[in-house]
Amino acid sequence: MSGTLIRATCLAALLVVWQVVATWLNDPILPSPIAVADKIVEHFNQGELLSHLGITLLRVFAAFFIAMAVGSIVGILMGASKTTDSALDGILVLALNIPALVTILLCYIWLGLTDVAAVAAVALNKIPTVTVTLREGARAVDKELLQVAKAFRLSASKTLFNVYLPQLYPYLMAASRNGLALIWKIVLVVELLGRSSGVGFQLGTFFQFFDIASILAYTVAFIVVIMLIEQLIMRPLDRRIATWRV
Amino acid sequence: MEGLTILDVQIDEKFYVPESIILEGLKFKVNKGEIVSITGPSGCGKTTLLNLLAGLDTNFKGTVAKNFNQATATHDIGMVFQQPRLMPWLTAIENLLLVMKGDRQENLEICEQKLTQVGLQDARNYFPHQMSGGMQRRLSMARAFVIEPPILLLDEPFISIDLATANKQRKLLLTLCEETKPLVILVTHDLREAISLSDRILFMCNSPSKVVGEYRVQLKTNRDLNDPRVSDIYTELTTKFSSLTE
Repeated sequence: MSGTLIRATCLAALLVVWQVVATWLNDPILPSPIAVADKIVEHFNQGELLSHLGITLLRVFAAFFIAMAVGSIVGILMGASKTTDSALDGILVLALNIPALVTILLCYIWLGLTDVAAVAAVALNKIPTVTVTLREGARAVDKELLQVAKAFRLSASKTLFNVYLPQLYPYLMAASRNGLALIWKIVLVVELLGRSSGVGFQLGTFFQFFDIASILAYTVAFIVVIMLIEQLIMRPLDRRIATWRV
Repeated sequence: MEGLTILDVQIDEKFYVPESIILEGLKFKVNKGEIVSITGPSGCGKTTLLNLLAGLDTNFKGTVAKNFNQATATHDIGMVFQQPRLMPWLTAIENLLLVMKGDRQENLEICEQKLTQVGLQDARNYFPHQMSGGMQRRLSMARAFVIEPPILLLDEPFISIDLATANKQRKLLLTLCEETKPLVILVTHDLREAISLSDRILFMCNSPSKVVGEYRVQLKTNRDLNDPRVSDIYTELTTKFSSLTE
């Protein structure tokens, strides 16, 4: 409990410092937290904040699930088989080192300025890191437990869901957390570059008008949503896994 | 049914690398309800043999014929390993339910009974890491018995535990065997254990290994490691098979 208290106090202190500096500067280049809060309410009341947030979140989730599914499957295959590992390792290293911006530009050029291109660009950026994490997990799978499954004649699906995958949960969890953090940041860039909706697009527009209060208002709103996802989905999942982890 | 051959083993040849043959011309038969110990020098291929019997390794020349009533048995074998090998993410009761086939409600009742029988009724919802080493081994034993296998394979199940716990586990094994009377193959390097627990002892030689000797234990009742008759047989056997017993 005291940890939460310290965290809250520090955040509050940051807000106070921000407010004091903003008041002292008295310049539109640094709007005060109160001004930003006003902007949030204003954008919210106009209705466009929620719709842009919603669209961005949809893109985040689509890219997240595609990246997790593809990255996990490839990673598990690479971790389980040496041949697959040697075959794909070169491509994986290459993919890990392609700058996010290049992937985004190429997706837009090849697939057009569409949502498909946007989601594909984000997913492609994330897949290699998921693959690396899950490959580690698949390499660490306990073969003795798989022998138990075989000796007790468990069905293939029971073996997969009750013996194999639980060993990968910690790795899936790590990949999800890093994944979400990376993906929502890239989604904004993708929207800025080639979409006419979403938080990234709005930020681009505010940038052109030097509307700093609105930029911060959108940023704060989006961060709150991401933190809620972390608190309401990621942490409870993490706690469930922690009950059996020694 | 007494005297019926359940397990008919004939291993013509087993190797991992052709230069070093582990088992060659190994054969034996085991009848219904018999408890047979297999002993021999360390590294002679006892665990390899057990893996062949369990069907965990099918890469060998020869046959392992299992003759049992397929209509009543859900499993051909049950197995107890050197280490408990429980699923760390499943509770005690879930670890038992995992290996069951068929109706869940019915199985739950059977599993609860088995837990009580091995004295783990209060640890029903414990995860393996919350249990002591002895409890984990009892659960591992319960898992092998709960499916009521016609053939039970044990791979040095009482190794690396203190004497008192090991003796309790041995008693438990005999108690559980009384009820369902499975055919038991017990791999052990402890000759006293073999004498006190089994009806018959098979001796294996150094690799390429086969069965080189057999001894029928005539102690029908009150088997105990400290029984003077066990010591007598022990002396007799160590003289007779001096090269095979450590």
